[in-house]
Amino acid sequence: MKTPGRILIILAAFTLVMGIAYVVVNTSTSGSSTNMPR
Amino acid sequence: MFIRIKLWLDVIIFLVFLIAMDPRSSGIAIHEWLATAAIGALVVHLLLNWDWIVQITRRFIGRVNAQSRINHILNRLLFMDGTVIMLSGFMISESLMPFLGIQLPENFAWRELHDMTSNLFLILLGLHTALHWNWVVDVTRRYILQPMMGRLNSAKSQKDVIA
Repeated sequence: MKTPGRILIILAAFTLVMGIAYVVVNTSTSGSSTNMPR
Repeated sequence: MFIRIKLWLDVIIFLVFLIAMDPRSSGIAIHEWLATAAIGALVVHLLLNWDWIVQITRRFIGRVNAQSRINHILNRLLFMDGTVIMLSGFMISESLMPFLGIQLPENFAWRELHDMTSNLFLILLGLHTALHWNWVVDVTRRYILQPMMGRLNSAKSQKDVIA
């Protein structure tokens, strides 16, 4: 029973870091022209 | 047995990292699918080292030697950096996300972030390996080199007996 709980903690940590990074990048680039150069 | 599994898992992660770190040679599809598969290996790596992580996290504020403290900070940075690499990789995916039918808006910032965090990861991984170097050498000698030498010696002595 320990392992599924630990996996959930690891996945929660992944999600937390990804969420913070997503918000930071989207906030800092919103409104500016950040499209890929073609 | 437990240490042997840890060793082989680390060897596999290292080999996957070597292949995935150069998408120009391996191709973008292999880079993306291999790196995504490595998430599973990383989760197992964390599970196998769980007791050490919990122990050091609990003692981090109190009495713990400098090397363990540095090691712990480095591991946290590696985890965060690795997670940002994954996210930015998903956001600029050319193979995995289209395969799953997911269309993401193009944003050059993700590509820049992916390059930057990948370069940082290389440095952090080097430091991580350096801090565990004694363990790597000791376990490689005990679980790979010595059994290999043992087998070679027994094969040689069998050959001598036959001759």
